[in-house]
Amino acid sequence: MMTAPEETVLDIRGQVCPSSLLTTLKVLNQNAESLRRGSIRVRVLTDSRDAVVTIPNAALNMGFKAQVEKLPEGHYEVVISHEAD
Amino acid sequence: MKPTSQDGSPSTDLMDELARLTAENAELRLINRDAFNYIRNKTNQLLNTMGTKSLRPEELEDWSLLELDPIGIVTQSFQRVLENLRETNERLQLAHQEVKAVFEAVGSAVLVLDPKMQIISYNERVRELLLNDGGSVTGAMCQNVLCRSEEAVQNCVHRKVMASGRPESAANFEANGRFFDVIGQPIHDSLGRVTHVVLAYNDVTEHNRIQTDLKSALKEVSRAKMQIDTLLRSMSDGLVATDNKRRIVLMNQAAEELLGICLRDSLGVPLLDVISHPELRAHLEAVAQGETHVLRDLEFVMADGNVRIYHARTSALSGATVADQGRITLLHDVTREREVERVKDEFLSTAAHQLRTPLASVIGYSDLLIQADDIGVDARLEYLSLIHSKAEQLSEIVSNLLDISRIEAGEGVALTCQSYSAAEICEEAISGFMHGPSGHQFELDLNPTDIRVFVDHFAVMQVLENLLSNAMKYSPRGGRIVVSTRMLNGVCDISVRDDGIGMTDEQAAQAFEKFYRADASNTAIAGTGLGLTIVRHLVEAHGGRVAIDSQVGKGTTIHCTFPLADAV
Repeated sequence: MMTAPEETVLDIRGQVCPSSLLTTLKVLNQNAESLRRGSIRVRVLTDSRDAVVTIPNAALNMGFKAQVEKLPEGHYEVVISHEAD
Repeated sequence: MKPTSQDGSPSTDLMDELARLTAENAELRLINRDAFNYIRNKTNQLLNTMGTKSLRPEELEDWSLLELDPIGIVTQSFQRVLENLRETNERLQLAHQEVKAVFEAVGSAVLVLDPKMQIISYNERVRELLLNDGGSVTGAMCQNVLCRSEEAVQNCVHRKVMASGRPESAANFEANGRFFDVIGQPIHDSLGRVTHVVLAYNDVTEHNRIQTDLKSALKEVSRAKMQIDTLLRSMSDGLVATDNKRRIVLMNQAAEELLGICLRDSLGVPLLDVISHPELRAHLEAVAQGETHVLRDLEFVMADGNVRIYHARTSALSGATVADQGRITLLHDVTREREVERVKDEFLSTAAHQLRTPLASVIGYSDLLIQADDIGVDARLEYLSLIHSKAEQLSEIVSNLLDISRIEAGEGVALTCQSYSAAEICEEAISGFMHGPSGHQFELDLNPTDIRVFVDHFAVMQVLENLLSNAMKYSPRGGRIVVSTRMLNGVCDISVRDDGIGMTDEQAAQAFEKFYRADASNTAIAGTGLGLTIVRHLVEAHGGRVAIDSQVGKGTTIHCTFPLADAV
């Protein structure tokens, strides 16, 4: 039976691109293997409209899956996980 | 604190050193600024490659930039991107190999065309099924290679796919004497434009042939079924077919009526569950026990109350094994046959009696003539006359039997017709009976004008002699017998009327049947039961009809019609 992946939350609200992208990439690099195995997923909270384009694109190029959702509170949630999840 | 000389002012050396350090510091600042600018520029280059904006100086000051190490981050990310690309390429390569394998292994001929109908690639089946020569057609225009006819161009699937952007198809594309169903599938780019069209040609030649054969076979089966249905419907015999579990699978209308069962309600029901006739059940059970060739005569009471006799015969339908075999039961109405057999038996008994009586006389008188020596001439003549008379009687019986036998054998009656006067024929017929020992009175009641008939003289005389002989047998001695001629509806009606014992309606209805005698028990009246049957055959051979009008105790009139001479 598959176990649910752990979740790492990265709250970068207040940061604008490209620093939000750099911060996210740094976390993705640090957790690349765990993400590949599907044992964790990264939830990025951001209020930068540019970031919801650049972060998912970068994640997809790195072979991950990214889902963007605008939350009722007004900011965005980008969930990055293994492609097969 | 500033370095000072002994008089309290800064020494020259110190000042020089200070100046040098200041200059060095300024130079280092410049180097630092260049280094940070370099890092910032490279970082921005990488970020722009990643599809994001450049870093603004106020967003991340120099030393924080150094601490964040964006080049390291982006480089590491790029490594991951490259790794992902490599994996993706490997997967693509594998997929490409798989597609290629399918491309070659698939039974259809597959062509890949660009939007202008240029052939990009094709599999081996294209060469086998569609192309005549062995040369490569890659790069050739499809319409120059395949669609050479105007009709093929009109139904071009490539054109349809390019127009609709969706999968399209066409049936019965003909090439090299074979037929294909063509399916066209578009390949779209990221903007939804059709970049290629994949055409798959499925060879349906054999399928079409089988379908045509199948249709023909189905038509044949349908026609055969109709014939069988018509045959079954028109059969007077009852027919019931069962499967290997003895369940009803077929029953014709005659069987439904006879057994009082409706096929629609009893289809699939075990036959023994719906048969109530005890003898038929016994027959079916005997067959089920394995008895072969079980034949039975069964009596059925019909709706009108009459009893009819049916001959039941059950036989096996063909099957791979005995256990697989269905059965078919035929119920054949043998009432008439049984009646004929009964009448025939009765006739044989009567005929034997009739033959034996004159034979006994012939044997008795001939014995007397052989053994007695003292017989006078007169007595001898009388005995010989009696023997002759009895022999003639025997001859008549035998003659009648031979006539009927010949007619029944299908030889029919050979006639040689000519024009005769009906009156003269009637006169001639009664003249042979006028002075007989019975004392009957013969009269002629002729049409006011003579009627010319087109008949066989011998046959008509045979008819009248039979009728007159019957009239004499069945009317009292000295009785009145009238022979009439009448013109009736374009034919000549000749009738013989007597005032004899007459017949009931039932007897009259059977009077012309073979071997029938109205009163078989009355052996005092000689006869074979064949006379009127011969009359009927002879009259019908002329195209005429016989009719009987009789009342018990009042007499009988028999009418025969013959064709007019001027009508022939």
